[in-house]
Amino acid sequence: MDVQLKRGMLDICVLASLLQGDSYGYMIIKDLSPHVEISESTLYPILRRLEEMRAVETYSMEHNGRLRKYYAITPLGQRRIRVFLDEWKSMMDIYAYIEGEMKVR
Amino acid sequence: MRKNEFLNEIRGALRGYPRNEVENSIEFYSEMIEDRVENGMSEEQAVASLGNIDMIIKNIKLDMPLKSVIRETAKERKEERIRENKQMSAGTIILLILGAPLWIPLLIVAMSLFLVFFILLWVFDIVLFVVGIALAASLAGGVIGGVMSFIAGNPGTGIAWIGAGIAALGLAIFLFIAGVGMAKANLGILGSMARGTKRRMLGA
Repeated sequence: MDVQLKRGMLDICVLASLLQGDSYGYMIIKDLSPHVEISESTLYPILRRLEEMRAVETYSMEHNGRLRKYYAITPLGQRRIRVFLDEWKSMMDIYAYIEGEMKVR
Repeated sequence: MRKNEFLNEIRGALRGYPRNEVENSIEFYSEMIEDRVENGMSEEQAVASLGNIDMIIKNIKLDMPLKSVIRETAKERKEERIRENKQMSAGTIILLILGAPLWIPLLIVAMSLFLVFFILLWVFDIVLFVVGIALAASLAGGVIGGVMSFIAGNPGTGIAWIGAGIAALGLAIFLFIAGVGMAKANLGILGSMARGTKRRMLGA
């Protein structure tokens, strides 16, 4: 798949994994791995980028005597998911058209 | 590999890069290992499951500011040359000096082309904003003209004045939206250029 496309897709996947509640790095990977291939070294830059664009917020909480960084989705992040879904809706309409034309032929 | 070894290797490879960025990534990977250990893995297993350490280091570097990537890569290459005793030979140096009338102008041309590209990228966007501001400002002119026409007893002309001002403001809003869109597109272009440069420098 196109690299740029995949990057954008993973961003949205990570955001989606935060919709049901705040999460932390290891949990995000565990939640996503049945659906997309994602490793720590790809997740880290994504989380950083999402934080930079204020699509997520972070806070640290103590867990077993150490600090764990939690990520929470912001309204901006939720809007990015909606924009993604809208864009893909129109993509899928185009897909259906192309597929239909192929069948007629 | 143990956790501390792993983290120290990353830290060592990233010496010279912005410290807080490095510590952020160290914290991230440290937490990842600890969470895996808590989940029943041994420390070695947890470290191994993170994948190839060179890939991890490369990925962290790709996310560093372009400036630091260029600086550190240049430093690494230089150290490599010194280590392998690959100093420039006398012949190369003489060739460089003799070739100066050729490569210096070429370098200047390349730099100018880049500068022109950068200016062209932004000039249209700036025009959009400047015209937008001028149009938005003409709303004030329209209102003043309108009020004066009312005072002078020409309500028809007054309404026309104010209407023209509001129309100008509407046009200005369109230009602002276009300007913001274009600025975003420009930043996207520059961002992917920076990413491409880093990728090439790091050989990723």
